[in-house]
Amino acid sequence: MRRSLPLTFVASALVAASCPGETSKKDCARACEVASQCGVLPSILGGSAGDDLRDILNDCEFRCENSDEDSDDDGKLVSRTLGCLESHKGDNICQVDACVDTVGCLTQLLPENALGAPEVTFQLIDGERWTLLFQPELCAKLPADVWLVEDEAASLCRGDGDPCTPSADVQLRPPLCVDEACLHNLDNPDESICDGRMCDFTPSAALDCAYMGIETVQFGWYDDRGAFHLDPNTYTCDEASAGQVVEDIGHEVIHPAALFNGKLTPSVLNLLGAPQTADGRPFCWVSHPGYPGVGWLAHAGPNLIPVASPLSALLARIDSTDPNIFPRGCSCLVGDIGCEDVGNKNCENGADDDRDGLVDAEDPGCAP
Amino acid sequence: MQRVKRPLALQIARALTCGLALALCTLSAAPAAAGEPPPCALASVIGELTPSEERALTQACEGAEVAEADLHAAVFHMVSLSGWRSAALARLLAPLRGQGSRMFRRAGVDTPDLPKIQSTLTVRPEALAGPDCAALRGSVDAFVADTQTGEAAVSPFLHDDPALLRCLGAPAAALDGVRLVALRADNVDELFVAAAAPDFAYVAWLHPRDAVDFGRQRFFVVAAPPDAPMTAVARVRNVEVPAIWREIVSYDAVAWAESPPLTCVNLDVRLGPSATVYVDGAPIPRDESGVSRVLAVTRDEHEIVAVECPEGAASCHVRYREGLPAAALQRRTNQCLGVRLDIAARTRPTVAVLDATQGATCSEAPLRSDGLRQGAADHLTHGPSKKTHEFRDLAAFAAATDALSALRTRLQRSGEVAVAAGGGADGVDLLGSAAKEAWRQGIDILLSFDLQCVRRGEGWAYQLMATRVALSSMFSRGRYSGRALDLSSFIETVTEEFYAVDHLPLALASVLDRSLSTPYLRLLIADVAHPSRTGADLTVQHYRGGVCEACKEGDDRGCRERCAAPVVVAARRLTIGGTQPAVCRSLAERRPSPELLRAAQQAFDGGSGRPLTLPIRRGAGGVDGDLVGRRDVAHLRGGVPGWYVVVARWADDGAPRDAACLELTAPQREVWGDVTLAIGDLHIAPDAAPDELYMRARAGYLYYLKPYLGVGAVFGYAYTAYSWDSRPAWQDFDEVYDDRLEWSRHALLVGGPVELRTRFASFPFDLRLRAVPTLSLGFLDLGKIPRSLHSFRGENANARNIDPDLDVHFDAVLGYVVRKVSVQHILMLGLHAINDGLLRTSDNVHDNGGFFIGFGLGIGGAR
Repeated sequence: MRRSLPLTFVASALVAASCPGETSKKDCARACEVASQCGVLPSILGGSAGDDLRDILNDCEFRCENSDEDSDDDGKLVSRTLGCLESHKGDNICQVDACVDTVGCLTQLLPENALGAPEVTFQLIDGERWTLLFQPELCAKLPADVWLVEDEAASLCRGDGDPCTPSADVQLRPPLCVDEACLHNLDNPDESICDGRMCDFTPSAALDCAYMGIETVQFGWYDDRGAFHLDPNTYTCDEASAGQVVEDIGHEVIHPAALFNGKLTPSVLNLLGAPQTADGRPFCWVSHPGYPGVGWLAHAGPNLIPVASPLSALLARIDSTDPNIFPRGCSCLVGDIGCEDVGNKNCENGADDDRDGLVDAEDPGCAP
Repeated sequence: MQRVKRPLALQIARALTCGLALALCTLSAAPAAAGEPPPCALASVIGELTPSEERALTQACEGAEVAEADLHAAVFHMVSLSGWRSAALARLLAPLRGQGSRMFRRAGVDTPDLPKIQSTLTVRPEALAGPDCAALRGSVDAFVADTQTGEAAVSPFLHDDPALLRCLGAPAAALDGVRLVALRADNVDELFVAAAAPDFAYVAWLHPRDAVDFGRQRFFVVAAPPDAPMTAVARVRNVEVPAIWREIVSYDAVAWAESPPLTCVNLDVRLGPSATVYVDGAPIPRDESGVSRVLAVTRDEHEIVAVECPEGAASCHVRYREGLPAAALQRRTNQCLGVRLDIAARTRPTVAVLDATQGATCSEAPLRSDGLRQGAADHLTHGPSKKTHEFRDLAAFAAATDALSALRTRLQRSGEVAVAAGGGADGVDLLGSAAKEAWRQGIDILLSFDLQCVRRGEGWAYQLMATRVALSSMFSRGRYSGRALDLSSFIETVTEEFYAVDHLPLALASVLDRSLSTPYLRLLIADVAHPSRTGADLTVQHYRGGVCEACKEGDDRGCRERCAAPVVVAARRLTIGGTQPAVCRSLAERRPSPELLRAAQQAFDGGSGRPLTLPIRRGAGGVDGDLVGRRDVAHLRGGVPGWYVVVARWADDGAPRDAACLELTAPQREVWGDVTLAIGDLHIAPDAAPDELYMRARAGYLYYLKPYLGVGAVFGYAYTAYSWDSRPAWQDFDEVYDDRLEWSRHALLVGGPVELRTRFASFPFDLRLRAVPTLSLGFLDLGKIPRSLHSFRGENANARNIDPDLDVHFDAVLGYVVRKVSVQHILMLGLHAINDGLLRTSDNVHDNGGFFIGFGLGIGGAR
């Protein structure tokens, strides 16, 4: 008996030293899946920029499992982090609202950068296709012959490839797949945490810009409080269509927008029923939809946020009673405030109050 | 043909008084001792007689009828012989003594009637005192007076002297044709006279009553044929040895003017039970061991003869003969001449060491032969040859040391010397003096040794030569009797070569045993300890003695085959490493005795290893003349280290003849060093580990408690490079740095290795399993780790950069020997930092437990 005591002691010490309060594998798998879905990977929770999604998840799980909840320094944070992730209410990528809560939980707990800095690229795309991709609910409301891309419209209206079934509830969308995520989405569509429909498809807005006389584009976004943030950079339509990184966006829900500056063209005037005298007059339009509209939760790492050309507003105008829906001047950012319309009683002041290029009666908002 | 007629009454009387002990009836008064040869056997030992003469004398001695002519021839021959032979005639013809005097004639020859003449020479005392004898008395008185004054005097008894004839009352021509020999008869109890001429022989026995008595002087006056050899044998009162006078009588003479002057001989003769010593033909009484007595003898020359009549043998032979010259006996005091002789039949031949010498070059060699003589004596006294040979210390016996010294010189030259025994050359001198002196003192074999030292390169080679002189063969029957002697036939040399100083005793033993034809089987071990991997060579010295020499030329095929491969050498391991077993200590301390050999055999039977029959490589040399001794080499191949008992026996005999112990050794100590590398991909546990490179350099010392078990100490240095692609855990949330984390660990290693290793000599390599619990005192180089990663840097530890760990390294080593070093290929199974946990992935720089594989190379030096 005495002889076995040292061996027993050593064995116990080895086992004890090997398993100090580690997090369970199952919990970590779930937590990392949530973290991945909610876009807080790669971050210090796991993964590195550029890694394959599976590698990121594995790394997350590795770190999670290797974390010490009993640690004096980080043990509580580990537990709380796990708590945030485990309390996630959703179970798929379409439940972005749940992620918003989860990310919110994490951002309150951890330093902002600890969850991985999002790199958000705004890309200007064809408004028609944007509508078909991200507001397919309008298909039912618009006449079938309104679509210029008839061959695609039917498929897109059916929601083919859309990870989230089109419904009125879906206001927040999963992010578009970018780079490695596209590849992973291609290989493992069932495991995808992003919308891969734009991985091999870039609907340029160049035609729309040319049609509407758009000369420059300036990206911006509404946050979840409705505040509008404007990127100071101004791009040509082509540059905007190629996609541009917009700084200072954290793990938050953003509603993308863009300001289009240009000069009114006869075709637009014809389309609006406005006098041709306004031809060549400068304008500044705001993209549609605005806040709240469709939103995206910015993820850690690269994000691609599609911004619709003004054509999406033109299509939405068909089913809308809002006279300011197209064109919406840059001064008319939120609601009716700053709009030139009857309600604002600025239809007879001889000024282009909302900066849409149309003055008083020329402006659809001032139509009787 | 005339026959000697023996009166019936005489024969009856002889039978009654003498019985079968004819010696009682001889001239000698001594009773026949036990083992004394029959008196008539003397005839057979007189080699000069023809068979018919010998037969005639023997028959006459035995009382049988013999033709006179035959007896004449024999007597005529006998009186012509020198020394004791003529005296022996009295003994052989003893049965005739009752007849007084006899004539033996050739058939048809007219001869003088000597008995009748002799009878006329008897004068009664009253007549002698008469006037007719006055002139004779005057002549006798004058003769005596002249003799006493030392002047030459004419015999007073002249055959043609009228005074004598007148005194005798004989006619004038009565003594014509004879010569008169006068012998002083004062102390003579009996006188035997034999004279012979070509046609006849005459013998007579005279008694005191037959003497001419002149009162104070009494003479036997004997008639002898002119110019005939005559022998007179007188039994002198109180003298055991007869006085002998021999001469060819050409004129009237006085044999003994006075009573023969006497002296004494101290006779000390060891005899076998079937031998008898004769002095001048007279048997000397003996006791159980031989003759030891003082003999009164005349101062003339004498001859000592030992006659041996082996039981059951058809004839007797002279075992020894020696003349005592008159010059040696001219002493008037009672200081007797000592005569020592040892011709006892020995159950074991006796051996003596004559000399031991060494060559001049040996003074430069590290070997000394100072103890050679004593070593030979020890071996002869205690070695196996003691059963067959008896050692005699020559120094205690030798009287003729000068002669022996000469013989030494002679033997050292040891040439092919052929000499004639009677020639007087120095060879004869040697044989006649020194060798014979040794032999007569009971030495059968003389041995001498000569050691030669020859420088061979850096070392020395030694050659020990033993020269054997077979004295017993040299002086056996007939060897001295005048035939040419070839010394080489009695001298044999045996040589033994050796190279190690320590082997001198064994070489000496070998040459001794071979010289004495004593079988031997010895194991010669230069060094007890040998490397276990190479094994050991043992020199097997063996010699079957006369067995194989005898069958060498015979038809016994079985014998030849046995002798062709006569030795079996077997070995068995007694221990694995460990201390020297008791039986091995005993074998090392002394030559194996029968008890010790039995103990060695018991140890062999109970050994822990399996019995190994050692292959024997026949030696190239080993042949010296007829004494075939071999030096073969048996090889004990490498094996498990430990003590081995080696037993040698004859192939046809199960009993061990020699035994020895060998130790196959493995180095007990080893100093080694190794360098081992492991890369990250060779980490087995935990699944993820930051180790990228582990390099270990160690120096260790091992002491082997057992050949297969070693313990020791090890010191070393270890370098470990670590890296994580990013942080390994959810930690340090305040620091967003999530790039590659790289750090290193420098450690001082101190451990205590325990090693198990194989010692199979069958394989050219050793397998080792070395477990090394190691204290790894590490210093962490964290220069590339952001200081803000507090948890990862483990800064809750007291010493931030110090990381003591306990490692356990298991090294599987394949080692082989290249020259003097052991090259070791290492497969390392490392348990690192078992105090940190082996299965848990580290989340900080201090926890670096893990299990990994590495490869390394080491070098060891053992002794």
